[in-house]
Amino acid sequence: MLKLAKADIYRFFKSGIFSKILILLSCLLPIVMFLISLTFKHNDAGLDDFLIESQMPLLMIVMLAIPTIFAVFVGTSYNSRLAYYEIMDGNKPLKIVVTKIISLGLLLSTIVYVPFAILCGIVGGVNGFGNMENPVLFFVLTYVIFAHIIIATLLYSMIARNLILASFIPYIRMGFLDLLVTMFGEVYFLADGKDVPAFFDVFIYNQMGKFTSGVYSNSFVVYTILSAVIEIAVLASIAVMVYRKKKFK
Amino acid sequence: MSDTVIKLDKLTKAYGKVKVVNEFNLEVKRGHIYGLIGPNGAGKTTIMKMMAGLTSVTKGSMEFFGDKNLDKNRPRMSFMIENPILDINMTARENLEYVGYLKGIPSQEKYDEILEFVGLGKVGKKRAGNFSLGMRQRLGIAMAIISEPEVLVLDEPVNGLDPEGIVDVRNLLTKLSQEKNVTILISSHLLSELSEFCTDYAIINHGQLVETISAEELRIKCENHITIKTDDIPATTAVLEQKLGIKEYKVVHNEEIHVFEKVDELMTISKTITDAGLTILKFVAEGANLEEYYLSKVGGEHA
Repeated sequence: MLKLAKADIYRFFKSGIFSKILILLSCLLPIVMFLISLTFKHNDAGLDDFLIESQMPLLMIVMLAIPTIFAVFVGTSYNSRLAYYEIMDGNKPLKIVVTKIISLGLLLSTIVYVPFAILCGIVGGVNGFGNMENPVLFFVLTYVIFAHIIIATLLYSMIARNLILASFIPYIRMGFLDLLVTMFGEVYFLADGKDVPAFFDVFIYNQMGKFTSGVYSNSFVVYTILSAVIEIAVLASIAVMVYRKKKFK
Repeated sequence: MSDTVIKLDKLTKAYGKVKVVNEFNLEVKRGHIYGLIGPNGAGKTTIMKMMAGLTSVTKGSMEFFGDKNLDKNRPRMSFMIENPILDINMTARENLEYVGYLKGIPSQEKYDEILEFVGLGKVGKKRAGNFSLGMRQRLGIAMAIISEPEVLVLDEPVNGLDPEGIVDVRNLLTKLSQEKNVTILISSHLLSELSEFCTDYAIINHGQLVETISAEELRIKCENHITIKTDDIPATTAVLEQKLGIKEYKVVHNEEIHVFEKVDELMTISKTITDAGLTILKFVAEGANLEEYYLSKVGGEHA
């Protein structure tokens, strides 16, 4: 497993993907800051207000930009057939999938999470955390959400095994399906004056909307973690099955 | 230690009702260089993909090193199937290092040594995406041999190489086989090239094994064939089959027949043909090569 992880990480840094992510992040950061400046007018507000007022730009960036980068990275390894070395070297599908989750998934989640965490850390450090009851839980939950998005994208790409498909599936899943379900919940229940059921917290879009509040119910924490674990487990199982079918071009 | 390193037993691959490989049997002995030859679509690449674990086996079984646990033994083998698998954004050395990490190769000096060995020692920081087809092929071979495998499975490894490159690859494979006892299973359309270094041949057509033959047997078989030209080729083939029981012959350009059987029975054959009322226009005992022998086995429009 260590050999597989080392090879993945080596290729990640050497094939130019890492530098492309850095370039993308450095290009996106001024845009994010600009968008935040349009909505965020209270320079002395705590982290909770900051997040609420600037949530939309952040949501958009996280939802649309990040999955694509990873989908491209993973997708290219199937288009170039480079991923086949892992199979030809006799590695079991489960080992390959688990290694990708641990090495690439967690590594990439951390790389993307760090700038976000620094930004929140600075705002929280300078202006305080406002009404946020548990800042540590905020950072943990946001990391879970980031890792959930990225590992799910990674697994979708492994299942699709095609650059174009791998690039589109995360969009459809994150930007379309999740958004639609969340909107449906809001329209259907809020229009009737009811609360949206806690169950809807399994959808990442809903989670991202709620984590900015800084006040987390127990069910929200459970659904956030559970949805990540369940989706990753289901996708990993499908990825293993797809690998076992051995339909490699 | 088992002498048979690869054993394919009734290996079958079907897509729906179409069998692209049909009960294919092969035993590859340690240290031998096997040439897998057959026309396009014969199933050569599919067999290699099944061996590499890239496609499932519909029926039949495989053994590597006398063991049915294929995944356990695949690290002892290297595969280069179809085009070389490279990351076009990395340099030749980086590609090698990537495979090195996968296979757990610690020695850094080895990368330069292998690159030098395949003639890519001076490519420097050039990315593989900018390589010519021949350079990619060389890098693919380098990536296959970096782990010093006991078995090399190469699908069309000299595709796109210039004549000098082809000779280099031939010398390289011969050297690997002779010096390191590497067993090689290779497919190529360049039969003349294969005949330069293969120790054994497996002829495949329509997914089925037609024949396995050693280079020595082939040499003996090809030493002579009889070229017959008569005034009626179809009638002559009928005489050969029915009266002489000859099955191994080939009609070349509808003008003459190459007979590969009973080549020392010149008198009998010529007498039988003339007794059948046919006029012999040409009757010569000649030598054949791998290409002609192959065509005699699988046929083809050029035959």
